[in-house]
Amino acid sequence: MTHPTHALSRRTLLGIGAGLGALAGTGFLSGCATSSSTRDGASPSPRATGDPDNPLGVPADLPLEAVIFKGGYGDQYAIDAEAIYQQRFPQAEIQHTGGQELGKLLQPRFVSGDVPDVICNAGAGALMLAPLVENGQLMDLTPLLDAPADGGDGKTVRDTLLPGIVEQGSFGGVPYALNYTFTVHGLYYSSSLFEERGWTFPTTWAEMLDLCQEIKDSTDMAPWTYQGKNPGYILTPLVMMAIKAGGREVIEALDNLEPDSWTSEPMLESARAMYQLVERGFIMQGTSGLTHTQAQTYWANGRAVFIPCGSWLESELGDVTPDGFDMVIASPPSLTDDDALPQAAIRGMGNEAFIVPAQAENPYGGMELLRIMLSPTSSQNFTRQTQTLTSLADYDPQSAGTGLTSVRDALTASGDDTFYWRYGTWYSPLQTEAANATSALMTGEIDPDEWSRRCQAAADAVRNDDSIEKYGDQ
Amino acid sequence: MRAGSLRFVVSALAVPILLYGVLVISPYAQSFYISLTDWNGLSPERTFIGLDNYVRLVRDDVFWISVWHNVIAVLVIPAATLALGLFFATMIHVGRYRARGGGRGVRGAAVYRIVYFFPHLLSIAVVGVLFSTVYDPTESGLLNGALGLVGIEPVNWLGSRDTAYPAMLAVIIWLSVGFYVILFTSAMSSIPADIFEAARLDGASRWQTFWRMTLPLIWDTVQVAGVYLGIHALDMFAIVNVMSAAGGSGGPDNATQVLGNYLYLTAFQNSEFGYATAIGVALLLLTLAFAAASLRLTRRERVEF
Repeated sequence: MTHPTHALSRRTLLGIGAGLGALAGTGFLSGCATSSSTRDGASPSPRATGDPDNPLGVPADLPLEAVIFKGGYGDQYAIDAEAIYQQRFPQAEIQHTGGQELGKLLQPRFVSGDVPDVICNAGAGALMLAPLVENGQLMDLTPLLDAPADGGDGKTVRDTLLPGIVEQGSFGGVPYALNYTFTVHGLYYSSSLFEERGWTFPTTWAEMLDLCQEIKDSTDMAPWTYQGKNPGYILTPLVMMAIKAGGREVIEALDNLEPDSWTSEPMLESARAMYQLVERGFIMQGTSGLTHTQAQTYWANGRAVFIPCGSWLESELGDVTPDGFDMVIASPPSLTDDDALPQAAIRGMGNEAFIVPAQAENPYGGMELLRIMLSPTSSQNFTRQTQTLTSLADYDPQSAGTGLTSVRDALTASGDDTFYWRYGTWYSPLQTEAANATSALMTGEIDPDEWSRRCQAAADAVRNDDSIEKYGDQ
Repeated sequence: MRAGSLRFVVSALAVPILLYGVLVISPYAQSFYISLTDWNGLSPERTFIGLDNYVRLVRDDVFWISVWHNVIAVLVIPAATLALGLFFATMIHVGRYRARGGGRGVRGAAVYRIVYFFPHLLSIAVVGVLFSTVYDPTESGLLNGALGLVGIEPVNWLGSRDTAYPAMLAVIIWLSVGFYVILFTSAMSSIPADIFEAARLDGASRWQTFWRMTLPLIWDTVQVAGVYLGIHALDMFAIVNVMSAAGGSGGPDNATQVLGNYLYLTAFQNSEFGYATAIGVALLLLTLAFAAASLRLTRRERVEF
């Protein structure tokens, strides 16, 4: 049996208490903060190998505690996987918690050492992984990756994953996190609208500007909107276009915090391109004051034609999207005629990082749950519930709407040119400042040169700060 | 002092002092210590780094932006709230003073008293979400829709750095006024009516009555209200966190950043609890400085009646 504990528990209260304590710098419960009690390590199970039903050697009678982020995807998919776990280990008592703002929920538990066995660390307010890695508080997931995949015909878990997934969860070459979902980032639009108006998706920026002009002149829709209060969303297509123009060196420069990473010609060119949207009035009035929900709802209601987003959009909007809207995703246009990567190259990367704490009572049970979730059956179940792909390669998602179909098409078209970058996950101060600067760029407060200087200054500050652990390969 | 009474005093004070020590003094002391470490909040380990966090604080632009916003809040919120509160309370209490020849409130004073209090019953999170919709930047927003009726172009309230912070301050003022209206009307009710009658016989105008009599007679209440509002205004955390963006960015581009929210982001987004605690200590010092300054500035002779 699973025991969902969504209600306010003692832990939640403690969590809130400690949070408030730190918050006020004074709080009455921050007594917990300095009372350090480290439990003497985890209890690493004797990893019995060879047993095909239990390759990770999970002790059958140990309880399993899972804490799952319950956002746009819900947590039913994890509860379903726990039910399979229960069938395999009937003696195990399973505790399931679905919640949000997991950082505040789990931070006091990491301090005390009383941690769950597996965590889906996602959403706003998630735990920062880098400090946990530095402290050695996460399990190396290599045993899971080397175990035979569930329903994988003898292949290891590692071999059944999409390319890049293992690297994206690695810090200094060690896989500490496993991204369960695979999301593609690009521009969304309504294919039925394009068909009705006889538009085609522009493949170069010049065409994009022409189409925007036509939209502005001939309709009452705005060409673009974006999730104004979270300007990271509009930064994504900017960086994508720069990478396609300049090639993979641009990614390396950004991830390695190089001195001219944000002032390089491709980045500046891309910023100037986006700035054209501002100068020519192609952005929906008031966009910078919209939350992501407001912007996406206005877009789905036909107030704007393009919106940048990741492929969770279809699931996130759910019933808000009108019937027959038929949203599809596309990679942003090419900046120039001689871009290093083809226009179809798209950003695709893992999301929803699952981690297993090093101090967990049953870490191999946590990994076993992940192994179950990465089976084709569980992946299909996830896609049915969320219209989102998991990181499992080559499974048939069955029930796919227009959005998911276009995501799969985009991935096929992109092929080996699919790319991703890491600086945002590694260095949150840089991501914050770059997003802030982009917010100012897209309201016309600063120009592209000023924008690149601000972002570069933030990258330089991170590079020169010895207290921040560096993960690039310099 | 007899032995018995000493025992009584000690036993009566021991529990509160103990509780105060454990629940207030000790966390303060721990906070000061944590602010001298590089604790990341996720493990029991931390290194003592002396005053490094404070050095970084002094050089941190966002910190100074936050301080400035807090200072604005401390000046604007109490001033506006007290002015509006006194105005409404006077209207409710003595609005029809001239017309009917007595200290009577306007018609429906009881209803106003209740209606003004409504916002105070809502949690700040609810108010924040509510006003995010009121401030919707498109022409379909409540406020922009109303302005549209008189021909004013839609204003990007929360998305423009010029209007975002004032818009949030206005929400806090809207939220706070009601309580002080109630507080001031009850304070005014305790002033004997014959004083007003005497003043009226002497030909005092309503303006004079307010400045020379009502205000001095309820000055204690106003002063306490001002200090309380100021300390309250130093917070601003909840409203900024709810209204700036999901997860509280303090945006656009730090245009609404305040110390409380910056502390929160530092602790929970960047996992720098040591530095966040240093911001907390700075906030504490700012609060103490404000309380001391305001108590000194508002000291005034008490009027007996």
